[in-house]
Amino acid sequence: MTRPINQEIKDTRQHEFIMTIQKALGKSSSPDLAELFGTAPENLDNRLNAYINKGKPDRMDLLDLFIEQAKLLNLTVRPVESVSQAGYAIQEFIQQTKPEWGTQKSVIAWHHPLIEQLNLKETLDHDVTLFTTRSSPTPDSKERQEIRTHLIESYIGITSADFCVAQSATLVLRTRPHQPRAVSLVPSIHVAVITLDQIIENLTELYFRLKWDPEEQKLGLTNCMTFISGPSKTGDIELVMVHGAHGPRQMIVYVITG
Amino acid sequence: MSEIKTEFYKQNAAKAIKDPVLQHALFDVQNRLGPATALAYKNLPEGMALRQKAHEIRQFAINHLDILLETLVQKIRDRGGKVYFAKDAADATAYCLKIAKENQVKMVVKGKSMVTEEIGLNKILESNQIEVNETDLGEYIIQLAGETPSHIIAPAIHKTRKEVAQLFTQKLGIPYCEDPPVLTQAARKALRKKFLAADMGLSGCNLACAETGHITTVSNEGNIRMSTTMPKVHMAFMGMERVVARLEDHDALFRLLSRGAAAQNMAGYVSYIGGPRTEDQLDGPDQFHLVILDNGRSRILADPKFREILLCIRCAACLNVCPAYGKIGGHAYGYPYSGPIGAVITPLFVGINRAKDLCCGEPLCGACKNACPVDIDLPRMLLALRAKLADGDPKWGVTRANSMEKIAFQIWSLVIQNRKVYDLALKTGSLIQNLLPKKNGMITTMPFVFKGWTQSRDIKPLARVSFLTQWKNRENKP
Repeated sequence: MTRPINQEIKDTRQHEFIMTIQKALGKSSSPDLAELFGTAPENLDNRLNAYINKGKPDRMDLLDLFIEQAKLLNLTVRPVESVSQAGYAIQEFIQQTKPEWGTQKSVIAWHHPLIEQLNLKETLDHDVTLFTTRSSPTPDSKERQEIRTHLIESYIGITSADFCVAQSATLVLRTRPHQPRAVSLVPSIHVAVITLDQIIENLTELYFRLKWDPEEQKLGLTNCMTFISGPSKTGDIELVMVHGAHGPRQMIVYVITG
Repeated sequence: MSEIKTEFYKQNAAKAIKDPVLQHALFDVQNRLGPATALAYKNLPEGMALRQKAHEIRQFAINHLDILLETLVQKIRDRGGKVYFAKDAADATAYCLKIAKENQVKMVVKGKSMVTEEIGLNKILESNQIEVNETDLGEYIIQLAGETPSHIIAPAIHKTRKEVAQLFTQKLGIPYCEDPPVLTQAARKALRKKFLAADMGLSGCNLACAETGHITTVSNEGNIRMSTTMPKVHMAFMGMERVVARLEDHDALFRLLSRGAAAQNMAGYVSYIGGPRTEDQLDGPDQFHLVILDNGRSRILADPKFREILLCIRCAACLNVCPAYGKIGGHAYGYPYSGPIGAVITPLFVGINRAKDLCCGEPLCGACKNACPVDIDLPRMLLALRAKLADGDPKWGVTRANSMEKIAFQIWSLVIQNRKVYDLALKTGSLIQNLLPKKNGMITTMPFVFKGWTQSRDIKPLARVSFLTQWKNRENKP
């Protein structure tokens, strides 16, 4: 059988390594890639359709499941009816909270259509600095350093997400231009804003859609896709659960249901 | 290479049993995690059967390891990642050092990784004037204390909050406080500076996905995300067996890994990493290196009896239920891998004779097999290792652990095959035992080759009249 990949790689180290494995396995050829990685199921369109075009009652059930699972993880979920309500709630939240390091109240938000609609720039108090992660097409090191500085200064990071898996209360975030991954990581509080139709049932649905939905295939998993299930935690001292080990100490998800 | 202290298993186990603080900690971790994991499996929609499915997924991956690794590597290279195939520990550490020097690395931050413990990476970097910071809280604690991990996922489980408080007061200069949240906050503050200043981040790899070309990292603290996002260079280390074929394979495996490790539905953070920052992105490392390590794994792969151990996803569920681990703790095993998984894989890595006590110390009760999220038959392999020790095996370079033992069992086999000889042996035994010291009707010390039996317990004497004789006497009664 011919080997469809890697023919032209002249990495002798790799070659020897793989040869050792083949010798250990007692074989010299492998099955084709379709057999290894699977072919599209026959009912693909039906399944995708059922996933993507769920009715509102089903979606509200998933929201309930998400809220229930999130509670176990100390993850706060706040359903709101509209984007403007979400914006108002976030503004209020920022008013009520204090930074973990230092006194300056800085907030950093993804440059993202949904987050732009929150209108935070207009509504935030004067003592709050808002940074957004809008960048040039190929940000140079100076531009990246600037964002990094803002990020480290900020105590709240605002992102959206690609999906929200209800069964395990997991947000799925892909890395894109204008949407650095550290916004959900370095600030002390992670605020995420999603819409109701982004909530899916479980990992089975997630992987199915990532693998077979043509829209998802276009983007792929990117070079960094992250699952986040609640705020950072540790049990390393006598198994006592403590939130805020290295990542955010607190996490809130606003779900726009309207 | 990590320091190998498997020869001192018995001494270290004895010491551990006498340590009341450790005994308390071990009881606590097993009492809380063991039953919680069992319950979490039971509550899966698919029930326990998901473990068999996961076993098949892992078996399929191992059977196609060659093509899966080639696919994975090709995809990572297509995204601009660098991949290095390392045949052993020296090879892997030398590559890491080379890349560190090329990038003038002065300080690294590290996510928790067993494979870097296995290759002894920290020592090599430190001896080359590179500051190494372990960032998992447990690993950080034991690094400050100058110790080694005693549990695969809770490495500082042997340390009490008092000890951690003393350590932090001494090393971080904070006021003495035994409150875990305060101690965690102190580590958070100290390590945040390191994350932001480090030149290179190191991580392991939980399970790569060949189809999409990603490694994955799993943590609850967020330290691995920090280590793989903030520094300019990220280098990940993976044992060559840690790959699965399909994206959907992660469905069963991550749910089981999270339950096996910490009885969670899903670990706090899972990241799919497939390459360095692209030029349109604002953050992420400029360089991504993946080191794929053999270090004795291909030898295990070649032996059908032991191939199954490569299915392991290092969740530590077997540690949390093992009666032997529950008494002797992780350090007694003398190598980074402890508990039942350590008792099988360490002899295969460092030499079966050298680590013979590890596989002989496990009780073969089967608790590990029932707790394993991928249903690995650990007891079977423990027995296979013991068989090698009994008979020797040139292929693994095993010499007979005890040649007298073989002879003794051959004699025993002759004795029990002959009724008369056996009865005579029993009668002689029951006479001789009258001379042995006893306490509460139990023999406390046996002579000669039998003394091992009474080293740490008393033994019941032989019945004065054997069962068979009693039975016959009964039947002969009118």
